[in-house]
Amino acid sequence: MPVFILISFFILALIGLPVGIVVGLTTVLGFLYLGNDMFLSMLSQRMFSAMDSFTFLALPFFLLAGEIMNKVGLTTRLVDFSNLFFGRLKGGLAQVNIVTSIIFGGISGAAVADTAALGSIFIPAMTKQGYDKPFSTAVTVASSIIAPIIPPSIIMVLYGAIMEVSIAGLFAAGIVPGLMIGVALMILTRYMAVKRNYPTNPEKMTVKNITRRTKGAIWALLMPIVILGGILGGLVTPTEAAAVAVGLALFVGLVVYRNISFKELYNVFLRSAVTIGVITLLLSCASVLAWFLAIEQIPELVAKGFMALSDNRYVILLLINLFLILVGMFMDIGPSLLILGPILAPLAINLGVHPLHFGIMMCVNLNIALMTPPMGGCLFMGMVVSDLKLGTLVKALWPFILVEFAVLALVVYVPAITMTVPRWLGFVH
Amino acid sequence: MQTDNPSGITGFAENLGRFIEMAAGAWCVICFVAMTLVALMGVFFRYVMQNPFMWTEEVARYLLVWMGFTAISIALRQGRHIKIEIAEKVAPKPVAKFLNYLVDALIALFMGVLFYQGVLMTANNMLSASTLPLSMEWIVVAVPVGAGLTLLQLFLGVVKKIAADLTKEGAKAE
Amino acid sequence: GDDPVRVKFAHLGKADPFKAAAHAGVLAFGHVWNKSTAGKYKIEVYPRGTLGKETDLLQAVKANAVQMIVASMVSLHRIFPPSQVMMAPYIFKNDAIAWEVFDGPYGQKLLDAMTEKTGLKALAIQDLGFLAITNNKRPLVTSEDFKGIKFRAMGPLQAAMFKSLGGSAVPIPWPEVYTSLQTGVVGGQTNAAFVVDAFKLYEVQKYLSLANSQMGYQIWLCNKSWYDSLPEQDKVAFRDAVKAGRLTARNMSLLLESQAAQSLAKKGMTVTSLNGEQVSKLQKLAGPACLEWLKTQMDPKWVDELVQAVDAAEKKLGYK
Ligand code: NA
Ligand code: NA
Repeated sequence: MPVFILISFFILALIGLPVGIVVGLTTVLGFLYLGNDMFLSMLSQRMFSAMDSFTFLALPFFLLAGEIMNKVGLTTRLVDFSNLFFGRLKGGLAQVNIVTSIIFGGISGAAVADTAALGSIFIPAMTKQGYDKPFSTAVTVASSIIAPIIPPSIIMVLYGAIMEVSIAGLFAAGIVPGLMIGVALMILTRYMAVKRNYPTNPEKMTVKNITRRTKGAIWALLMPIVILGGILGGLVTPTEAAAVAVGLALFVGLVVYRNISFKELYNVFLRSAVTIGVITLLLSCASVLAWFLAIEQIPELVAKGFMALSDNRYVILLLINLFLILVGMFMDIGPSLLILGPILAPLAINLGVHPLHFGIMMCVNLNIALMTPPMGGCLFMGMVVSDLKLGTLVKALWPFILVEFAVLALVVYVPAITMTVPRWLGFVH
Repeated sequence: MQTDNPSGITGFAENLGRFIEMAAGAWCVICFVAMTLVALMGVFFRYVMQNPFMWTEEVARYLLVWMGFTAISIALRQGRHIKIEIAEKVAPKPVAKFLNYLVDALIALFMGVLFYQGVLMTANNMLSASTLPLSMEWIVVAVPVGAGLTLLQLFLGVVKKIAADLTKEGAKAE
Repeated sequence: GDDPVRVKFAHLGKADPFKAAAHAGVLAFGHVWNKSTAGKYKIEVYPRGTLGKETDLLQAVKANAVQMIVASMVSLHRIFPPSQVMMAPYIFKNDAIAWEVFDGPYGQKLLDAMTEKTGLKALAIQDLGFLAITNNKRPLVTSEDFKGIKFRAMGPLQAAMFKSLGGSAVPIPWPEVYTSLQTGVVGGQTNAAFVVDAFKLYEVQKYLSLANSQMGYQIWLCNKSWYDSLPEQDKVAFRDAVKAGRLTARNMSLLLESQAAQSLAKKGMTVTSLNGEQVSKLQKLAGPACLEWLKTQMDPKWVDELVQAVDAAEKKLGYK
């Protein structure tokens, strides 16, 4: 059965059918193969309810906020500002991109929203300064998966609730792996920047320049302060903060700078809406596939297969991670956690892996999957914001994916990376 | 772009497609603006009026559903849906052309099934909204509407393609 | 012999009968039905919401993609508004009175009306025990204690309850409840004690009040034409099995409640139980106001008849 699914998936994908429809049509074939046409009614039902979901609500707002910030010039000012401090380094702006993702990770709990928000800011800014677009997009996509690993994180709340693991403990455990991914990406970026001779900012860090750039960026700097302060101060939830970001960007554009016309604004909304249309097809179809796998109880079969293969902890962990990487290539992170967590975690925990450790491992793995081809939320969002083709982006992305897999391997096989902070804070005894 | 095409059919398909795209686009923008306002209202009424509405999050979600499914058809017309473009580059021209029509047929098949199931889902709907006195029919119908608009844009696109192919072959024959 | 008939049964609880009352009920149901039909049916359980949210499950059982589900107050009022009378604050003084009402003629009438309205066969009401109210300021005993605290409300009914108790109410979607309690967007919330335990809310909440405020409920549903197609003999066995399952779930949820209260106290929460007099003071504030609100949501006869049914139950059990 899974073989039949995989084959039809690849054939449909290779002839150039939109990827969302590839997934949807494969699932329809699966339903027909099972001979239960009642299941077909779940096609529209699951597609609808995948979109009728709270967790998806922040994404359009962050996307829109980023687009408006670009249009009214907030982005350029913000980038000029940070460029003054970091731009003297080779690949400085790329480093700023990564650092911003780490900071943004402390605000938002969703990676695709991060790609949308920062992609629509950094990709134009970086290309303007002379970086090539595939690299700029790849850096954005690769660093956006840090968001749900550094707390707060919607997927960790989900995981903690299904798996009965301390959510605060997961938050604590995610900090070091999240920072490690950030640092690893910065090292890779540094290496590539030197090798490819990426641009630096000629501007000197004089008091005069600092004052000028700070003044120019004052409204732009207010954005993260309002968002971060609003969330950490308990004024707004992260989703509301995304809407506030839109409101603030609109206010700056329409009242402070007065440099955006209503017609331009209309087009900004429209472009973002069409982007959401692209994402809608992908996410809603992926959720029907998840339903199909669940009703066929395929994950259970796989888990049984693992048990039959080995009872060595390291081997099982390797198998589980390879399996998650494979699953992550096709399925979205939410359904994957929901369906696979309760099936895979007991395997590992029985062999002595700490539940908190396994949770982080699973979250990191499935987060990286957000950028692995052929299907991944961040990958697609990156393509949509940059207008790049799948092949072009993947070619630029693979060194980043490899580096992140290396960090994943460390997280899997060196428990101290995950467990030290929660142990300090008393979540593990 | 082909409004002055002599065959007429192409022009008609193009104009109708563009009109539907514009109308769908306007609807998406309305949903998006309303969604933003509703979400901001939620925060405003909580802090300023100390009396938040219970329905803001739910309404924002429904507007998102409408926007997302409607926009699928716009993305199709603009060719923005994500796909793997190996076949059309590697395959010989006649094969590529055949695959292109095959892809259209498969999209039509999927959207047709989705449209049909969406209509059934709307007809069989028994839910009302959670915090509002509103039947969910008005929300779930976004799925068949989105699928229907996509089918329509697909059909108009195919009409243009066939017309163009026929013109080319006609030119060759002469 | 023939292959067993496959029956798909989905619910949102955990897959562990000792942690999820619904799962315990489903297992008991399957066991009893199997015994009395000599293994003719094979119950395939899909727990944990792997087949989707409650709204998905409702549509799935309507389409017969799944034959049976257990759905809860989160979604049931959306297919049958009168069902939310069961959540009327402070209507039941204790569990026994609620059981009497749910199992008696009023409960049956509600189920029949639901079957008629939705086309799904409503089989049984299963209470989930009383919800507890948590917060991070102080133990909630009198209405004074509710003042100045923002409570997360699941819907307008809970909002009305918190407002009439003296607090304020904020709608927060469930996925953001944990972090909202952590950052202080809201200071309190209400849920069954085992939910507070399972979803780790004790990590971000200090005080838990067992105030018999609202009774949580679930309803067992199956596809109507599937049910009608069962042989008469099996139908009888089926109904008995549902009863066994529902009673198992009810007993399990009581056990879970008591365990959760202890476990939460051990984890550092201050657990406060209110006595009859304290509850009745809160009841006077929130009870009538919420009943009035409920009357605006459905045919008012459901509310009036509930009050009568509760009264009759109290008399029958010797409370009056
Ligand atoms: Na985060
Ligand atoms: Na992927």
